[in-house]
Amino acid sequence: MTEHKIILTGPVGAGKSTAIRSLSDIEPVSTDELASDITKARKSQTTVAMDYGLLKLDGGETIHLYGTPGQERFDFMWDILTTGGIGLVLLINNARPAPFKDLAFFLAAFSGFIDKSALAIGVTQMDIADAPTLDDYYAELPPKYSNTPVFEVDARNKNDVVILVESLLFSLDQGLEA
Amino acid sequence: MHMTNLVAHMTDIPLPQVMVSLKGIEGLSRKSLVFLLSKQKAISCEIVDEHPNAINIIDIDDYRGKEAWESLESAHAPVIVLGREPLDIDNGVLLQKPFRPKQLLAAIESLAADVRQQVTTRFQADKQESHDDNSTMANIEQPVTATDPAEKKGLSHNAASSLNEREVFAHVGTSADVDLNDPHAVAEVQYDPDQFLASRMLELIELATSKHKIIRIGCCDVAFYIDPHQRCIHTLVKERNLRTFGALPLDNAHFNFRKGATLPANIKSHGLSLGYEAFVWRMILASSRGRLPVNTDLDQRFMLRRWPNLTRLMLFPHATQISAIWVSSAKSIRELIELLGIPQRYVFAFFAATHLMGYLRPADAIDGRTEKPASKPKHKHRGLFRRLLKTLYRKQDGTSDD
Repeated sequence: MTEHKIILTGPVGAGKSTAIRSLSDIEPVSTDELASDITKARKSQTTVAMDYGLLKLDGGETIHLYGTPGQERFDFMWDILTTGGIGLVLLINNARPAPFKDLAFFLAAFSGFIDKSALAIGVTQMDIADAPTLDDYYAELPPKYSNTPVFEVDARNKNDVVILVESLLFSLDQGLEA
Repeated sequence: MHMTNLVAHMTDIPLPQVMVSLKGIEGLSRKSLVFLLSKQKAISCEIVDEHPNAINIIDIDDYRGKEAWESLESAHAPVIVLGREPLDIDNGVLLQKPFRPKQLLAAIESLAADVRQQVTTRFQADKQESHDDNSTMANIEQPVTATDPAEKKGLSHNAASSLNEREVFAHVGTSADVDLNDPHAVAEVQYDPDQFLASRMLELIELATSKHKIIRIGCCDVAFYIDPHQRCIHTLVKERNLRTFGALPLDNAHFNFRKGATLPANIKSHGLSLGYEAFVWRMILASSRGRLPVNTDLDQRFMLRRWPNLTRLMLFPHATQISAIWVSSAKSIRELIELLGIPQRYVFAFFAATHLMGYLRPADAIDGRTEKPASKPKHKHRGLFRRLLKTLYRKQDGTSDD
């Protein structure tokens, strides 16, 4: 049976685990561990394997939600995680020192998957750092991603995460409702 | 009354007068109001005691006013409240005393349009029922169709949990679809944005931004501060009452602005601050009420230069789907309505907001955009996506188990 999943990715502290918690119908399975290396200064725990949540649809189907680890040394897992994925939700922490560098890194890392599916970008922590603006993000996106939805997101806010996923689905199939 | 011709055109029924019920207004005040309303040529009012379609005018400062207002509020009846103090009103308009007769007439006109559309919609539903039962009427040409949201359980209709049903009514209106091939009918669902606060606000935001100075706007004895440093509007008006200021045509005698203002301490501590986008979007929706800006070309193709920041805007039904289409392909309003099959008012409201805010531009003015194929094939997982959307909307509506 095909496993349907949505992948959430982004740098450390972007809100992936929180977003999954906002959406999931089960208590998310998190493999947070005490952070080592460079993440230690930012948060005491970080996801070293993955986050996992589940959306239960009518009729018994399920959508799996996978959050990738934020630490770059776990990127070998990303190819495995994305296999069979519906689309990618990229969360960028606007309060990090170089959010555009993060953006470029994740777009490059997942370009193969995005080309086969769709992308929606949520910019978090904009209440703490209001620059760059969403217009700046659009200016920074490579032309092939110019149609991508980019929203200000609070990962704790269920509505924000729902709208982000909704935009991902309409990007995949605009006639979804027609 | 600008809706008059539209209703007549659409239904071929004689138009009722605007029925007005005065609550808690007696003596000289009542006589003055009756006189004022009886002398209007542009709007024909009939004073009634009670009627389900009546617009109720309440003097909240009268000892019977509060009780009358509470009763009407619970019945969701259209109401104009006259009062000295600000008040939260969901289903109507507050006119703070002192107000001018012109403001009262504008408020009546604004609510009358909504009431008449409701009546028209009901009439058309009855007519459609009759039509379905009568095969001899099968050759009547129908306008470009759109399905009533109550009939079509559209998925993205449910997306607007940030707007409850009454707010959708207030901001997107209830306008019935019109025949887009009939210029007169189209003209009746157009409005002039320049007569409303949102357009002035957009101009002054530009001015404040270029001068790097706070601008104070005085509007009907209420102040709005455009703050270019924080890119937001500050005011003491409560969020729920903002619609009033967006919905009523501007009275130049009650509008002024001043550059180089400073933010009063009470606004800093107790005021409402909304980002430019969120504020103006809301004001435009309030003035548009599901209508198109005047002189809009239905066949001009447009594209969004980017997605509006939907997580921070007043999200109304179908906005996400419309965004997805207009961001990836050049479409005219007519094409979009035909493609989606949704009530026209949602497309009109979306157009008004995104066009006036500069998101939506003529397709030939958008450079370097990657336009995806106009008719994207149906996704192989459409069924799954529908079910997923349904689940997501339930979460938005707060009806999930979690």
